Amino acid sequence: MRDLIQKYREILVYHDHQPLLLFWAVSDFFNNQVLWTDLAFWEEMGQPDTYYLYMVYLFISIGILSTLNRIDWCARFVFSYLLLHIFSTVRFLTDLYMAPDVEFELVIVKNLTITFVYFVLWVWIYTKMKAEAVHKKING
Amino acid sequence: MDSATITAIITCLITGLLSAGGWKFYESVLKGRSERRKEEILARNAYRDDLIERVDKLESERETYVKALTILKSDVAAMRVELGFVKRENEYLKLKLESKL
Repeated sequence: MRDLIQKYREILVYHDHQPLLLFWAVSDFFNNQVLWTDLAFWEEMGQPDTYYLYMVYLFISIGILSTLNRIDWCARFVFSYLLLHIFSTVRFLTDLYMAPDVEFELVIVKNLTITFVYFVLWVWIYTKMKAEAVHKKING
Repeated sequence: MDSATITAIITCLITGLLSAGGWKFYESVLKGRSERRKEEILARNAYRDDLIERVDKLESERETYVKALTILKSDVAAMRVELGFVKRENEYLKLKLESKL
């Protein structure tokens, strides 16, 4: 058990983030709703803002994919993604808190747990990238 | 803009500012550490260069003294030989003087 925990720690501390970031950005790009739906679809659902939110996600995914060789710029895009993630989560939580008759269902707990894991993931990637960028800037 | 969006925007702004400040601080800490390390390396290099200079100087001095010592040794050897001759001549003269007396 201790070995397993040690292995988790080693993965988080020593392993690189680039393959994960690459696969995630590609998956995020192809999974983006802007590619598969249009504004009218979201207007019909009464959520036109969601379409624009997805558009920003698409822009950031393209940004990440096109700047993977330039760590300082890529870190900026990753930070934008993180901020967008925080924005969506806080907005969802605030809506949930302010809605008068919403029951706290299990599906919400599940969604929030997954959102938290994604949040940790992006924080981890961003921290790794930024630390690398800072070290490169200082040591040349 | 509804209040949920405003709350989310404010949260993002605070997060952004805190993150930027945190990284600036981390960068300054790393920069200070790196400068200290560079200063240590410079001091060590200066000490090493000084040692190299001193060793070079001592080597050249040593060569000069070795040459002088060689000359002295040969002079001493020559003097020793000469002294031997002088001693022998002195003995001979003593003997000659005694026989005359």
